[in-house]
Amino acid sequence: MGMATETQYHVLAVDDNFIDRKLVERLFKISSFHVTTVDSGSKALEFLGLVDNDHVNKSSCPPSVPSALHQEMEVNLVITDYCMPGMTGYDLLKKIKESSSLKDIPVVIMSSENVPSRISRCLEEGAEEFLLKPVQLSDVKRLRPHLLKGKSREQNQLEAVQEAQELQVQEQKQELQPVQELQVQEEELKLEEELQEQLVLQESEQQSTQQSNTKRKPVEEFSPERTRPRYNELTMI
Amino acid sequence: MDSFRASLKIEHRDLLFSMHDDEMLDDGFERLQSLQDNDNPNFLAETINIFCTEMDRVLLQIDSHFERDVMDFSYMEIVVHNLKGSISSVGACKVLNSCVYLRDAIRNNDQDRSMRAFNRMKIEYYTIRSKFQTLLELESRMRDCQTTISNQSASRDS
Repeated sequence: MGMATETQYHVLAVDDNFIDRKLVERLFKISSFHVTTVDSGSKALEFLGLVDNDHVNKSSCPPSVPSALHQEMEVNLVITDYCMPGMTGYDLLKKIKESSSLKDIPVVIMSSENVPSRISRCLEEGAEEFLLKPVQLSDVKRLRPHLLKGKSREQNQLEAVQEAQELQVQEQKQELQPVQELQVQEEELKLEEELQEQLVLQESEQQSTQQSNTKRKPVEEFSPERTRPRYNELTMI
Repeated sequence: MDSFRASLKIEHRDLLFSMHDDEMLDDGFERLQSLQDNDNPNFLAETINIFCTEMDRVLLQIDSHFERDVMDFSYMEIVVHNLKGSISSVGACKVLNSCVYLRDAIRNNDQDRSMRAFNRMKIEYYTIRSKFQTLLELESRMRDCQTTISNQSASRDS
């Protein structure tokens, strides 16, 4: 299937229709997501409240949620049907975006009806995408970039710490620089020379084996079709 | 056993062809088939069964609603809208068309037209339901054949 990612993204799918829930679940599982399905907006909020300690629903929350479990159940994406009895997908979207703790979770709306005013209303309210049913596998694949945008608070904190550490290391390096500078420059020069030698060797090898008509492109690490660098680290199916 | 399985395959293929030919099925059904794989060999059967169970239940619901003196059109519209979603997801084209016709009649608060549209939808649904049953039976027998063949070759090898 490709290189495994460190985290498996968790999607919460909301739809009152049994078959659509089954279909959406299958589509996301094929795309290597962990999937939870619920049949209403209120159940979705309940689920999100259980996961998030800021919005704990005391009556339905277990006495203690260990941090490992909290991490596992973190929701990276909410995908919801628009037309649902009681709380519509739009209502659910609004509630999520109004919540200080949930607003960073990307939300995608699905609908069987192509109503432009409905679409723009949802996008204005903060929905990442509006998908027309029946949802296809290609639609699901399109959602990956939105997951990277909607990082969890904890991940943001972790990254902030990492950045601070990197900054420290850089500052330390700068302090040592005058002393080590010469050494480093010499090493770099050596490396460059070695690299150039290798390139010359490669070229001469290529020329000796090359047919007159074939063109050799320089070795590319990534295929030309991957225009989004973010994909490079993700599982590709 | 091999030729028997082959004949089952042909019957299965012909049935599918005829259903497509008669415009009973559209590419929604193919989409369902494509979601089935070795890790989920029963996905199609499960989905079709869920669909039929739901259809049976809702048709009864609508039937009893028609027996009332006064129809609640707004309630019916919601029920039929939901049904339309399931029918569309499964790719049952003719049933979908009759469902859309029913929905339009309901939106126009036309009781007579709604009843005729509903009866039409029932006929289309029962037709495809029996074909689905045959299709799934064939698939099940093909799988049984496959298991028998692999068991036979395994015992021969040992």
